[in-house]
Amino acid sequence: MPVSQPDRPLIQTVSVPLARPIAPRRAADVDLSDVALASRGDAEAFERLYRRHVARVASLARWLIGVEDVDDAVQDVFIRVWQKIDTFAGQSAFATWLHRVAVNLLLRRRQNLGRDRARYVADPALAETRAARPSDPGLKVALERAVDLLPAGAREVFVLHDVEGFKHEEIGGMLGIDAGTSRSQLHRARMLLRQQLTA
Amino acid sequence: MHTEWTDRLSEYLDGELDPVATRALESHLVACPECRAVRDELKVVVATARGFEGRPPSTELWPALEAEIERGRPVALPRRFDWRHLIAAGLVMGVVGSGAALIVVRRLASERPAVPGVATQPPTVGPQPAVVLTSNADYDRAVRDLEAVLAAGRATLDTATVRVVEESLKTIDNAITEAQAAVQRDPANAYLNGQIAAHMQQKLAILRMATRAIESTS
Repeated sequence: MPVSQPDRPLIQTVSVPLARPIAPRRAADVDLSDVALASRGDAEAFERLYRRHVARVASLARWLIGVEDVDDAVQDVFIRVWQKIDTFAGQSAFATWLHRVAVNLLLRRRQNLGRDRARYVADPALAETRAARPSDPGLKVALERAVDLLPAGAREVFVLHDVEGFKHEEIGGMLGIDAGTSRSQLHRARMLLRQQLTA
Repeated sequence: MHTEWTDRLSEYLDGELDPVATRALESHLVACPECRAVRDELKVVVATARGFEGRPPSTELWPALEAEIERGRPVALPRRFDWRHLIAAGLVMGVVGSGAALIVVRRLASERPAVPGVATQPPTVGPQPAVVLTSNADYDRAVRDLEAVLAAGRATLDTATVRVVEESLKTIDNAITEAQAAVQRDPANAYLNGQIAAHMQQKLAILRMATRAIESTS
């Protein structure tokens, strides 16, 4: 007698494959999702963008316009970003676009405050006397603290070139200096930072 | 240190030296460990700068920023709030009794009220009001309670936040007053009634955010 086969059930269960673990999304992709939501008025999505990027913007503000105006300046930057977020076309990373908006606004704010331009006169003595060995252990933190101590002109060029990626010609236009001055200020900043880190 | 060589290191690292100068510098670097060390240290500075993560502000800015965003929204109902949120907010605040909503909007007399407890108007012949907007004592009580919390705790907020909150509330109060005066002259105006409802929601939202900010500092 042949072995009877079990009756086929009338309703077959369908096996659902376990969802594959989703690889962590790239930060840029996460930003794009939240930008799309925020541009439709989703304030919670905008808050997520804010939380991810506020630290960099705050440091930028501190370096370009000074400690005393940071809170107001950061708020202004993000209000501007909220107002213009639907103009972000996605041709660059959101962080890049955000920092461009921030730099433009911060420099305009500084111009409106009428900060003087003597900052670009070479004054090595000022840098030497203010120099102090940062106490934070990590290199990034140590360097950030050291940037705080740079003379204003050198600091601005260093931040715009090495941190934000602008070219010397662009920096010259932003700061009202020529590209040669920008190059010399950058080198000055780098050499002072090198001294801080090796002291 | 050979400054005539190290002075060119930044341009060299950025690829901005012409080929002749580059070859001369590289020949020197081969022979000079001191200048090589400076070059390597500058490389570390440049590489580290690219990875800066920044330091956040010392104060929490989001509540003030959120209030500013809400203040600047168009008159249409804020996306984050609909009638369910209002009712839920009322329940959470413990000021809603017997299912009455804080703010109610009723459509034409021929339809049922959207929320029970709405004051009804007797049917009339002739033009019917498109929308009737009423507020009840619960809304006023909620606002008073929140304003009391804000008054008691404002010293714990930073000045920028206090300024934004006060300016926002003043703007909204003026808008409510103007809209209410306009509704007196044109009670059937659905747009004006919607304006009042939206402004009242905004006022509640700002007061709630401010009190949340106070609570977070305690």
